[in-house]
Amino acid sequence: MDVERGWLAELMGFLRPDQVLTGAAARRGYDCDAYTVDRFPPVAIVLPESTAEVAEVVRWCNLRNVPFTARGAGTGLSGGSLPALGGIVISTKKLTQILEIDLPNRQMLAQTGIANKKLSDAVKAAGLHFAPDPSSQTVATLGGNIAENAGGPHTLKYGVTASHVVALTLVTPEGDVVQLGDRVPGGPGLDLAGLVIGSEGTLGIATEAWVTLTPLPNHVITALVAFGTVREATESVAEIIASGTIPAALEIMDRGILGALKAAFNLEYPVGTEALLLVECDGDSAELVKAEMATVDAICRSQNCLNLETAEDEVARQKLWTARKKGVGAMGRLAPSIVTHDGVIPRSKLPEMLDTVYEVASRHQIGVANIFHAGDGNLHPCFYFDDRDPDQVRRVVEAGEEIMRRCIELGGSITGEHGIGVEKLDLMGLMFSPADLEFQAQAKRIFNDGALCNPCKILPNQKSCVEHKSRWRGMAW
Amino acid sequence: MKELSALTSQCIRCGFCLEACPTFTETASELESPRGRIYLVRSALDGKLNWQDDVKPHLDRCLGCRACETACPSGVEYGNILELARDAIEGQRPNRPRQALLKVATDPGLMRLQAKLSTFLPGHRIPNFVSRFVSGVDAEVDKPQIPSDWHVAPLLAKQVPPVRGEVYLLEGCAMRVLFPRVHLATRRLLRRVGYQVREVKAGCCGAMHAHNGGLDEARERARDLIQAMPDDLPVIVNSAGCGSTMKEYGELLGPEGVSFAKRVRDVSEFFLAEGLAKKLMDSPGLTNRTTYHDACHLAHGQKIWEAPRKLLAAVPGLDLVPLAEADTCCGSAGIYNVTQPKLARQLLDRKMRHIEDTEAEIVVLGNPGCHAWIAQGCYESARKPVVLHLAEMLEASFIGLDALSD
Amino acid sequence: MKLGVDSLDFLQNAVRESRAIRHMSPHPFRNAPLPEADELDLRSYRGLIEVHPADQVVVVRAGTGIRDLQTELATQGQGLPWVPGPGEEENLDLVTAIGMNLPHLGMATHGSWREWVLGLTVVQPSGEIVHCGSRAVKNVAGYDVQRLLVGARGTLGIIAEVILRTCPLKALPDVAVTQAAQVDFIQRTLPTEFPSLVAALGDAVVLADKAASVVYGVGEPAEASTGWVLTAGRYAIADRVQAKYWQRAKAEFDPSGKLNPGEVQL
Repeated sequence: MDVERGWLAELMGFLRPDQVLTGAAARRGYDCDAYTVDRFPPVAIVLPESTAEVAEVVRWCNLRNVPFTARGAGTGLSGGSLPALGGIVISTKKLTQILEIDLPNRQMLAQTGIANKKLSDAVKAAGLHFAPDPSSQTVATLGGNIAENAGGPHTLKYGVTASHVVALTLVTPEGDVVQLGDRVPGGPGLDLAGLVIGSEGTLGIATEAWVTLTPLPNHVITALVAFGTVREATESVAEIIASGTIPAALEIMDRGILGALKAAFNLEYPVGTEALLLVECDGDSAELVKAEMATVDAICRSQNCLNLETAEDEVARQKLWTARKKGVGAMGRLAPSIVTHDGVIPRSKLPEMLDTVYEVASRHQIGVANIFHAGDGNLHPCFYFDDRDPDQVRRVVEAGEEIMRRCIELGGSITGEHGIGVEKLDLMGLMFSPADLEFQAQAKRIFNDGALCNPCKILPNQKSCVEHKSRWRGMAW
Repeated sequence: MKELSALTSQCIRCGFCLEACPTFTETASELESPRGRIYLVRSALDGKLNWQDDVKPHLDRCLGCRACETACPSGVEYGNILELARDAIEGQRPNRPRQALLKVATDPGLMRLQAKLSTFLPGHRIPNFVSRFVSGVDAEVDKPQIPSDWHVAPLLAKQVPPVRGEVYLLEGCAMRVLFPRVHLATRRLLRRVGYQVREVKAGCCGAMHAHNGGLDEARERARDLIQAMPDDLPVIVNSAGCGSTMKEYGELLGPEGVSFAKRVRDVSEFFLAEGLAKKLMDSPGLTNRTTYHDACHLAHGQKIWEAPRKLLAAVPGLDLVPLAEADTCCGSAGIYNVTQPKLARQLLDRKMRHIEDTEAEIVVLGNPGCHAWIAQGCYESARKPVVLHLAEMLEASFIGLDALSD
Repeated sequence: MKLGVDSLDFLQNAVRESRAIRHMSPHPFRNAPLPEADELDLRSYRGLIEVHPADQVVVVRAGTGIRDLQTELATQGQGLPWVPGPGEEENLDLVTAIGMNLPHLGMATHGSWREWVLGLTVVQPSGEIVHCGSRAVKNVAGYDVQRLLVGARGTLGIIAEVILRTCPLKALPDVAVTQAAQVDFIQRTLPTEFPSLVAALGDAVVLADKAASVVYGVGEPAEASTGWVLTAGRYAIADRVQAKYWQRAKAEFDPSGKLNPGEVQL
């Protein structure tokens, strides 16, 4: 405790008292993010207000050999901002300014603690937006999006965060401040920004970023299609993609989700509906958008859809999106606990993968609902269960691992947008050989060859983490 | 009431509430967010944290605005969690100064007396020695000022339709003393749509007590109120905070509260349903640049956003401009501006910046707490916009604004 | 010594046994070869390994020529959004184009190789064969080493096989350049700075593409406040941060300096 008091005194040497949170409540409040299975408390939380202050804190951590972990809004689903070895949590939530808007070049410079949605709000009047749209976009920060290389429903057409962040200011794990990337992308040289984006905060702390702004489409048509079998919905997705049409979004919700929506919001869909497919086509030419939607329409009808409802105006479109947007929240009302998995497969394998998901869930006797980015082949099977029953928890873990193994067998990935964090450390060995992992470790060491900056994430078997892991693994409520 | 532990376990920690929470956006601290507070409460229930030292300071800083409930995808009943947790804390160790403040604020007689007495104290603001007694820091709020009465000619029978029904009007505590004009305007509007008020003696609804850890006292007042308003008449409320609590009497009292709660109507929803919009369209109207602030307990507590805006839109000639972050708390939050003056002031400054941006001459809202607090901000501002209750504004569409000038 | 590579085994053995290796095809924008290095020619290690038109993914050997790849993909209704600039060898092999992250005329709308490379099979200087990325179009598992190797000029590992994202034919960029010309530099700026750059370059401009705000020119490039330039001949790094981290990368991936010596002036 004396060491701790000494630390705090030193931190307050360059931060105001209200920028340093400590004590039992603070340690508890920051011991996990939205991934709640693993927890560990930090010693203190700091709230720096500039890049210089972040760098100063990081240099101090290096001086005192204190682990540090960056945190934005704490909406991560794999424990990316869990302070796995304790130490200091560096919050970016006081870095929320938009610093420059360059409308002619469609770019914006912002601090990374700002919520994703605020970027789009700021340029909406100019007909632009920041394209990555994770479901948590009203709160998830730009910095968190950069750390996780966040996606969202519309990344099928517009690309993930890495395609929309061109340059960033990084406080390196040693506390240096460097500029990476270029406002003009595509240039020669090492793509250092590209390596940092998606590195889950293990290669430093991004404090500012230049992002690209995408024009809002002039014409948007949304369709909600009901199918009598999940397979017809997934086959439709494969056919739509194969036809050469790239919709802005292609999302599927299965009966489990529809049940939750009925329980929570009394939303009703046609009798016999086993799956809903949400398709959005957009573009600047009304005719092209209509033609795309006609292709979608024809494919869905050839797959015997039960009902196809389209909407063009904003209010009606939002109504069609309700099922997708409220689906996971509604799940909260089905059971005390939910685990949302995040696996990817080549989209042509969707039909057989879905069969696997249902088979695995039924064999393990766990409830499952699926709500996912079908166009990207990005699955989100949600298991609902009672976490007070250890046997159910064990079955959920086993079922999840089986599904991930199948994703890998089919040539996919163990995560499409949630990240590895601490959640999927043990699965990395399924997807990558020891040599592949060492190859990644080499890349990591370019920026981070110590053990202080967001330790124990992404790569399994890190020194000082293996032994410590038992202290944070499975510390759920 | 549901059990606190069950209520907290509904939170899946997604964090969608964070940006909706005014105290989180001001402080950037997870501990001043709904998710953080729920986690702290849950941890105290599990014996991992101490209610008084660890949890209470953060619950004290909660405005109770319930913007988080609007943002929550999982339907977590934050308002209930807050009331139950505060009640648990208050039950362990009562906060005497705050109780004294509550007593004054919810007793019309005492409040009127205090307001009169305060004119003898030096200065405009509540003296710091009083503020420190409650909050530990200097005051940010002025002493209560009671606006002058409103002298208008009574409505003539030929101006209004025949009476088609009776309603109750909650006169309440603070509203009755601080804004008697609002009740007068409400009565006139009710009469314009064919309703008259059945007069009863009824007092405070218990909202302030429920919000501040006095659930038993709130229940007592709720029962008194229900008893005072028998039969199946609609209960019209023009104070959002009271309306919100009264609509949740079922939670507070169980079955005896449920049927009463169903009769409670905010003025805006009642007037819209009873056709006031059409009458407004035929009124002389107003041309002032006007903006609308959502009282938290109207928007987040009662989910009423549209009704007041539709009524204002029906006022002929009105230049209605949207207010940025209209449904973000102004910092008044019952007695918050006295118990947490610093944060309350930051939130008022934020609200005032948005109001200034609209260049509005009039700010319309529907709750006495916000009314007094935003009026303070407007009084301090250079442009000095006027704050009016929705009922005052709508009545002014018929009789003009001059009748409202002091 | 010059060696033609026709299998992964052969490549692996050659890398193990050599002390200095140059392995990309000749290109005007590459640096002059060092005489003491062995030359590995991957162009005979070519051909498609897997094509998945429904997934818009192709797995291909890195010696494959881009024109050959495009021809194969077109039979499946797919293609790469690659639009070579003036003077560009049309059947340039992937290992060279990706190694240099060669700019092209579809950049503004379809991005660069960095966006299209989903995964790589890489031979390390030790001869170890490693994989990164995956066949999934959306994947955030682990570090994106593939992004780092695109544009690394073959100095961090030898790209042997590539997983590429393809594009439906009808969504390919609609630009065609047939003009063959000598090009000394490729330069790109922000759209708003593009007109003044073109004006400053004057007669040096061989092709100015406004859509991508890219200039192909002869002689000397002009100063621009924002953007980048790629010049023929000696590729040197001016940016201090790039240089520092390239050195660190080199120390991690190829500490003995075996791969493409002289390709980058650090």
